Amino acid sequence: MSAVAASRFLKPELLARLGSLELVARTVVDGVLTGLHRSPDFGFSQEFAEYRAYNEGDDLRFVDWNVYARTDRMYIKRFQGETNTSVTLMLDVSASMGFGEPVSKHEQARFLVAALAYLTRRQHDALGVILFDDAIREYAPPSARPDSLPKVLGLLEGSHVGSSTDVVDVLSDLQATITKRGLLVLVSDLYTEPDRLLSSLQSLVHAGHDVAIFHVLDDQELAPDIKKISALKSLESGKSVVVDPEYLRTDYQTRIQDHCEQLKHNSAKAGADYVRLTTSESLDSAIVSYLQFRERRSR
Amino acid sequence: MSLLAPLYLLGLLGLFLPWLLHRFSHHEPPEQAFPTTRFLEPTRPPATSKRKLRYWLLFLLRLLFLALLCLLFAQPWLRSTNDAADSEAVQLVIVDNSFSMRALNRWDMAVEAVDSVLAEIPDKDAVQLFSYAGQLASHTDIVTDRSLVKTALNQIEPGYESADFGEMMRRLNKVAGDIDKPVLATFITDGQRANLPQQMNTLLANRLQALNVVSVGGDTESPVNYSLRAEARTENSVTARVSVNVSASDLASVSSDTATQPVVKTVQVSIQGRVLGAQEVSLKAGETKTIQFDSISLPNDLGALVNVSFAQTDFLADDDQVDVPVRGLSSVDITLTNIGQKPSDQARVFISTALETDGDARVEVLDASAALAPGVRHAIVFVDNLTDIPEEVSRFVTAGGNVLLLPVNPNVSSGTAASSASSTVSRIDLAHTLSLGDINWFETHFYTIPEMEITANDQILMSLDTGEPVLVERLVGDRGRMLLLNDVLDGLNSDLPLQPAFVLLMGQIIEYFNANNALPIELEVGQDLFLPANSQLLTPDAEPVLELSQLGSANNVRIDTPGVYSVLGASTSDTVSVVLNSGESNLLAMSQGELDAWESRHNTSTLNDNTAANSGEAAGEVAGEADSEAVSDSRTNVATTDDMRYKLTLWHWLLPVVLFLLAIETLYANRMLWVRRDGL
Repeated sequence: MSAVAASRFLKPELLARLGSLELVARTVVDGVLTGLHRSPDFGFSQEFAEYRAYNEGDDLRFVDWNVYARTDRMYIKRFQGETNTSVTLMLDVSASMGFGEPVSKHEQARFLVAALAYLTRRQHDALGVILFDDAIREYAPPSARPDSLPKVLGLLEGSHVGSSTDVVDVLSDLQATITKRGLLVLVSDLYTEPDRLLSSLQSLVHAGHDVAIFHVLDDQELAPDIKKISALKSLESGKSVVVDPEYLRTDYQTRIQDHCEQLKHNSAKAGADYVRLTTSESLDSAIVSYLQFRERRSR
Repeated sequence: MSLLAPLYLLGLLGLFLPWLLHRFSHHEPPEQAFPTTRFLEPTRPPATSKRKLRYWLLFLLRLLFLALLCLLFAQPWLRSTNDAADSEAVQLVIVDNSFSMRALNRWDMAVEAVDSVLAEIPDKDAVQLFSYAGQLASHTDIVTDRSLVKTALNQIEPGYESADFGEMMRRLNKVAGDIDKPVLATFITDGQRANLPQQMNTLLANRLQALNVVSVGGDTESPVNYSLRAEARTENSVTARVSVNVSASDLASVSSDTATQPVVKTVQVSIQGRVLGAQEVSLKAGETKTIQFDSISLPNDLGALVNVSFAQTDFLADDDQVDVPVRGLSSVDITLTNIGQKPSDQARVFISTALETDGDARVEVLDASAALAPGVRHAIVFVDNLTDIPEEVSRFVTAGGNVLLLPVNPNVSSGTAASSASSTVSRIDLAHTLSLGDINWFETHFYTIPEMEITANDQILMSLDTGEPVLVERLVGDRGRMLLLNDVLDGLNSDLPLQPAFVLLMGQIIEYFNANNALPIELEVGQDLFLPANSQLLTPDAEPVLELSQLGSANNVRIDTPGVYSVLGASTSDTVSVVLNSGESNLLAMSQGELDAWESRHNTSTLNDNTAANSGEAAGEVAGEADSEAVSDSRTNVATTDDMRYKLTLWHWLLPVVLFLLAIETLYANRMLWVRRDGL
């Protein structure tokens, strides 16, 4: 995607002024799809897309036997992406997600989840959502019914940041809750131990789920612009720590970058897709990453 | 600039306080929200290495505020640029320019006396020149340049007003109190005995270091001054009766021939230059006689003045003749009307009879628009009832008219009313100027009292034993008067109009009305004339006194020249005679002994001090010498100790600045309140 095309996408602070999450989702998704030369969301639908030569390992159910009878060659039929994939969007609504100016992580994450929900329904997938902090607060099981999108958007509209977070416990609970395999999209700031997250992700992947992780952060927590010694109070625990700005410029940034790298590494290790997103970035790159992830998964 | 209390400057040490506050104050670091503290390590802030002054504007504001506060307490002052600042003492020279100073050559003597007083005043003393004739008027600032005083003196002329020495000393004392230097006064006067106050102790001005009274009127050859006052009245506008008071002033020595031998003076009356009568009167010193000129024929021009004068003027000519207007006997015009139903014929007759019995009132029956027209002063109006008063009546009173309202409807038929039980007057407002208590109401009975509504603006002046009001004053505006007489005056519902009390009541009411907006017939020079709004005052030479812009409101005009003044109202014209104060014509002066006593009252303390200091010496010798030196000694002493006293204090300017700074500091600090918690 060219830089000119990218500039069409609205910045999060402008999205925040749109008011309706549905409008945000449409704006983001339609913008992304318009910018693409070809829709990458192949899958199971009634709308024929193309033929592809059969490769070893392809599902024989998709071989067009009529063509094979006429040409004696095996082709796989590909359709525009209507699938019956079950997509569960997981939104972290812990207190730490309330950080960020002018758009908080929570708002940015909501926009992203709304866009993904819209995209999911556009592909006629079953859509579900989970709002969680240290436990699951809201849960809408995946559903392919037409009202699933308004239901999800309604939950997102009513969401607000809560208390502390424990994504690992939530993922563990999820294994018992979601029995049908599908796609799990986790949107969180991921303040958890990367190793614990690795084991949770591995359990989910082993259970047949595809997992995509969107790590939402604010620029101020990646590189805080604090010029004097300040007492930084944790939004989740309420604990204050007096910090030297020099430390924030050096060691802190190293630590959080290491944390992010380790999360990325562990995600890859578990077979999950990892995308980092800040509150100042537009959502197009995240959407494209998601679509590419879907494409990889469909192959 | 100097300081009265420089010790307060030690308070400047307090300037360290904001310095410490801004540099070393320790506060908790500002708290900020952060997503998590898991990657943070606590840091101890460095103790003093980064401490430095913060918030310079607030700091400087506080420094300035404290410095000015200290300066305020130290009481700074500036030496005045006035000449008095460099002088040892201030000499006030007061010259009497009252009417009596016109006699003989008293004014010339006074001017010479001022010159000689100025010549004797030490060069280091500053001088201020005043004149006094009813008012203490300053003609110069406090100056050391004598030529300025002489120039100002040449512009003063004797006036027509009278002097009151007690009042003058009171005002002089106030002037002396405003000067922070020793103040000595010299009063050049003819020392008229008539100008002495009733209370002699008012002659003492305790803020004066010394008083020197220079008399220019105590001459033994002072002759008798003759003066006259007159009035002219007419009953028929054809002839007038002129009454003349002729007075001869007192003499100091009653044993002289002039005092014992009467002098014959010829008094003549003239109109428009034509002498219409003359009489001789013989007077001794101190004697007053009244003569009358009957049947002085008046010209067709009723506005012509009658001139009364001596055939031969004396040395004080201004009080030898007087112009007087001819005044009629019947001066009060009253309109009678009704709004709504007509009153009974009896009521009109009763009212007209009662008013015209007095003789000074003339009743004219008009329709309502004419009776309440602008320019009408007094009206009697019959209305349907006293509960609903017509709007035009209120407008008439608001515009300055006076009205007596009477109801037409008795509310009960007269036949039945007459047979009912009677009520009598039981409560009277004795404090009201109507003087209703002077009237005998014993035989007056009321059988039926019409209903009326008492409002918050009503004052009940008279009521019956049943509690019903009979006479009420209603406040409508502040210019006119409105009285409500709650009786139909038909002689049936009450016998009020049949009683002598009614004639007296109407007389009192008209007198009360007339006093509201009547101008005085006669004033003395120097008195104020109250002019109602929309009135112009014309001098005897027909020159308007008030500017056009002043006509819209009431004015107080001080009149300083005798004569017959005209007051022109919207539709009225009155004359006011302004006459000389009779006391000013009596030229009898205080003796030298009395003047010395007056002076010595201001030098007593100095004399006592000197007497005490020289207690070993002979008392008579001390008294003689001390009298001449005491003033200068005391002046020197006081001048030394009070050298720094002539000052312009600066706290008047400093205090608002300090308060302004305090307000700015408070606003700024409140706005930046987080600064105080911020610390570094």
